[in-house]
Amino acid sequence: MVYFEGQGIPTANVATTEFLGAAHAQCSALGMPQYEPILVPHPIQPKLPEEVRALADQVIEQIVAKLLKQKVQQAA
Amino acid sequence: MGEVFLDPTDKVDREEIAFAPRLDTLAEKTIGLLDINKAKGSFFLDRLEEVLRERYGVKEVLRRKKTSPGRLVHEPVKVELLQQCDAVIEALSD
Amino acid sequence: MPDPIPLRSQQIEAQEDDPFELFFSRGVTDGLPVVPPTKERVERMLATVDRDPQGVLGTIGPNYGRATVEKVAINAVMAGCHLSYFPVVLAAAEALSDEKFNAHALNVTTFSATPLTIINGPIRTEIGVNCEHNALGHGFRANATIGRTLRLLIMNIGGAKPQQITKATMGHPAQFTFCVGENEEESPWEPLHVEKGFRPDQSTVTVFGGHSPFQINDHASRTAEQLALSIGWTMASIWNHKNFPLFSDTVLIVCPEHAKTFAQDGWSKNDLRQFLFERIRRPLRELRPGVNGGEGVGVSMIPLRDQSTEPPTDDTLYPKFPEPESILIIVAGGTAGRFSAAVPGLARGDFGSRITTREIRR
Repeated sequence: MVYFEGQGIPTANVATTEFLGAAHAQCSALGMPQYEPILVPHPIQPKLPEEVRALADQVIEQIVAKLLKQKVQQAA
Repeated sequence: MGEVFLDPTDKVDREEIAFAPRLDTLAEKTIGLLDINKAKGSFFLDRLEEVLRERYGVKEVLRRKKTSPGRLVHEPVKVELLQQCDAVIEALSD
Repeated sequence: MPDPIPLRSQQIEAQEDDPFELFFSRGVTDGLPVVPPTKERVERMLATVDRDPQGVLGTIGPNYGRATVEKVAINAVMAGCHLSYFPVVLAAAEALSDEKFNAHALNVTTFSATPLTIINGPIRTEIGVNCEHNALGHGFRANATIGRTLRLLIMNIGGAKPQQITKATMGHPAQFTFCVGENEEESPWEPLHVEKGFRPDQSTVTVFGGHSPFQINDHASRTAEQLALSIGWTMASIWNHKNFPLFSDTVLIVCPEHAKTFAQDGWSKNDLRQFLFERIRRPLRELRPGVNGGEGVGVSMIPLRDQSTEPPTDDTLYPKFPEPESILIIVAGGTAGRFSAAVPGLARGDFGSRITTREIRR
């Protein structure tokens, strides 16, 4: 996602809570230490398909806010 | 002065990258959905796609997949998303 | 007097009395003390090869740091490598940083992946690589330090520190070091590098993205078929007893006594891998999620080579191994005792990591 941001394309990245540290470390290494993923509860693998879909409903507004202009002042 | 040693790490000098300008709206836009290719992530992206179209008026959704969660995005996919999308959402790191 | 070797790495000045503590505090060790990489030690290591110290062997994900000859030398010194090991270390580092091997995949998975380095050819006896008793274990500097260098490169060049980018759930001791020589002298078969098209007198390293080894006891089988079934059905629990087929490669390390049993019945390495592919199979009814555990068919992501166009029934047999070529076979270990070993792999192909071989340049 860091690549796309650098090319002028706004992005949002979704990770589970367990991977917050890994996401920070990777984004820092690639040049965007301030990049924040949107988090969903861990784990995903044991969940049923409808449970995973429900997670999308829970965070869609956060995802959209990450892409739109008026939210750019908030912590990324 | 103490003894001198050599650094075993690679300090890659990367310039800090600024955030891209954000969009005014998602309506009529093309949104890339990049699946990192972990099992079950597709269900998440399926629902995102539905809501983006129905609720936010997105004109087109480009669904693409990484070859593997353990690789960078394949170059042709990267170029395609770059050239065709107004925004990109990547999911789901698990 | 030879010209000084131009080095570009940042210099670290030790303020403390104890340089060992310095490197612990910088977070560049595997948890064990490292040999402090003084300029002199690194220069001596670099002087053993005729390579540009700034030559880039490749990059190592997930941070895609550059594995230069100089950086590899620094990490080899830290690992405790003897000077004579450096050509082997360079070849292994080249394989590790090859995009085909894709170290990135090993370093961002919960699987606890680590590179297994297999050494073939005359270099084994020249530098003292252990291929015999305790082949996978402790006690031999070449095995211990060559394998350790790869782990240090993964951490220091790849950026894969445990609990940060790397989220291996369990980890295992082979992540410290995992390096073995094939016991070509006690093997009835072609060694691995000859299988891959090299001459017997060439020396190579092969790097495999795998897991901790587990041992397979068989002190009773007297025929090749009996032994293959015994080994194969023990390997059937790799990843999970219901993961059929694997979406990974597997290394089978056959001990010399077992290799003799196969050879006595005229079996080659290919005969053994073909047999395992064809005979280690279970019907779908035993593999459905919920039958003896929640895992099962549906987790695997690679199609079967012989996938039928008919929809599967409860009687459809699924192989454990996706294809015979997914089983890499070497002979190693001592001539006394009948314990072979299997090394499960990370995902294969584009999805994961590909077994990568490099010739060792002198």
